[in-house]
Amino acid sequence: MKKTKILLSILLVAALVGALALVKNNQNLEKGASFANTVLSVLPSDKITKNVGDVLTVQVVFQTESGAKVDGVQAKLCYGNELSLNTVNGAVGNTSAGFNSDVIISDPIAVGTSQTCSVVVATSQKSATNLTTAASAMTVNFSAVKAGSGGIAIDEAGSMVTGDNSTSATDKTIAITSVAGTTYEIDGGNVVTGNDPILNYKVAYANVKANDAACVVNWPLQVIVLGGGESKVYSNVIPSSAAAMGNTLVESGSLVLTGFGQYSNVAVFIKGPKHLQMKYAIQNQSGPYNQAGGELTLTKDPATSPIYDFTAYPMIPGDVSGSSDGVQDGWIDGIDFSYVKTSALTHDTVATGGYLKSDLDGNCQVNTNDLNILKISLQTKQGQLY
Amino acid sequence: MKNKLFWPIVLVAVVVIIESVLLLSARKQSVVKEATVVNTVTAPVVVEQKALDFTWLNEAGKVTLMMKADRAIAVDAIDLYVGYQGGEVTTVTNLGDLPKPSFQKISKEKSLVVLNYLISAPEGLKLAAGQEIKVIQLTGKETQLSIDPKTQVVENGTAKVLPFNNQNLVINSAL
Repeated sequence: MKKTKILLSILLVAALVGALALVKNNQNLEKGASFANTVLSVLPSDKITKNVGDVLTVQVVFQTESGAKVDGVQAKLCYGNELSLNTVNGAVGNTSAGFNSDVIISDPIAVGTSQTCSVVVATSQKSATNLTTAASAMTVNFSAVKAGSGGIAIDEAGSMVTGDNSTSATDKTIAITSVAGTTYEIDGGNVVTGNDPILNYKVAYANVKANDAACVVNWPLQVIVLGGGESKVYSNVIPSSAAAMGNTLVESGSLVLTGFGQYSNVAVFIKGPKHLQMKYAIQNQSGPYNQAGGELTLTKDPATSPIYDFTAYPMIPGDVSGSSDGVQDGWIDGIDFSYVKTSALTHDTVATGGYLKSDLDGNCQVNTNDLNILKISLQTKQGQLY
Repeated sequence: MKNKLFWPIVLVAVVVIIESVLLLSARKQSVVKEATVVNTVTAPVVVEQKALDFTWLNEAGKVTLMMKADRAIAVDAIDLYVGYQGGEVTTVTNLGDLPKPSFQKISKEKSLVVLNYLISAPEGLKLAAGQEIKVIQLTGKETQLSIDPKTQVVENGTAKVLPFNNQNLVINSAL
């Protein structure tokens, strides 16, 4: 009996030690670690050369090795501080490959002083027939903000790919067997060597909410500068970055005023693609500037030229049409209302990153909210004019 | 040479004098006419293929702007600008045939009454051929009212401007 007790005690101690040893080990409790393999890469693979202020576009591409169809890609992209990524609309899912959900972009994660990582996630709500084995999952639009060179790499440990597994409803992970990044070189261009004034600006669009602006992507601005009897027009100006400030989407950029020779008493007229032209003449302007000329001062150096914040007087949306067959006429009136109303009645919709002229709030659909915005814009402008 | 030119010059001079007398007398007559007429409807500005007419109704001391469809139309928006000269418009009342305007103001600085009607109903405001509606009622004094050229009526579905006729109205006393 005593021997039996001793044996049992030894067995219990051994079981306890074994259990502790097992607990200390990281066990893989998943039914299967992965059901297929894939390569994840950033394209183009050749060095990308851009200027400061340009948009640097890359694709996050997968290619499975065993015919597995991909329905989700999470890529941790790491890049140098020459680039910045807009967390609101910096990436767009490739709808033709089934990635129809809004791309999620994490806040930037600083790695040391010269590297930043962002996690971008593209997913699909489509059925397996709409998925593919090799495609771009998303387009990522970086802004080139500083001269220099570096690489865009995929951090394999922070990335993940999932897919449709016909044999299991739970085992969806596709193992990433290798990753490939790309390199870039950003030229300072005129910013560094030019003799032209620099306009550093921040602007906002009225009634665009930062958390619901999936289609406010690369909206082109027309910028007119005026001073000392001289004026210059710059078209298709794309702000280099966008960020949420509370509920306001703030777009900013640094524009080289090539061919413009004035550095003081400058006024700037900025027009969005579906907006009235706004006159900005002072820092932190919050309403109409009802005087001739302007009070802005510029320098040749982007680092010292003031950053003018015009977000308190956002661009007024609603100029989408005119009396001559849909050509914008610089007014907000009944023609614009009728134009937007026609689209709102059919709820015209585009995928994330798409463009609809009547989509005044940039949420990818024309609806009654856009009509209400137009009414607000009309009331605001008529109140100013009359 | 002198004899050859003498009579032609005299003839031209006589013609010029007669023309001047005729023109001056005609102008004098029209001034007298304007001064004596209380409500004068000026000649309408004819626009090709017009779809509607703006007319003024001046009765019982009140001026009402009417809009009449010449053919069946559906309207999405009316940007109405009524100009006034000489006197003033003191009040503007939106009459019930149109929805409440999105914007309404008497701009004394620009001598304009501004009303923007935006019609949200999917089919717009439908008017049958010959149908007439009351738009606004104005009060003022000693002024000339006119539909400003900025006025536009926008068609439902097409977002096109419908052509219209309009008239001026002279008010020589307070309403």
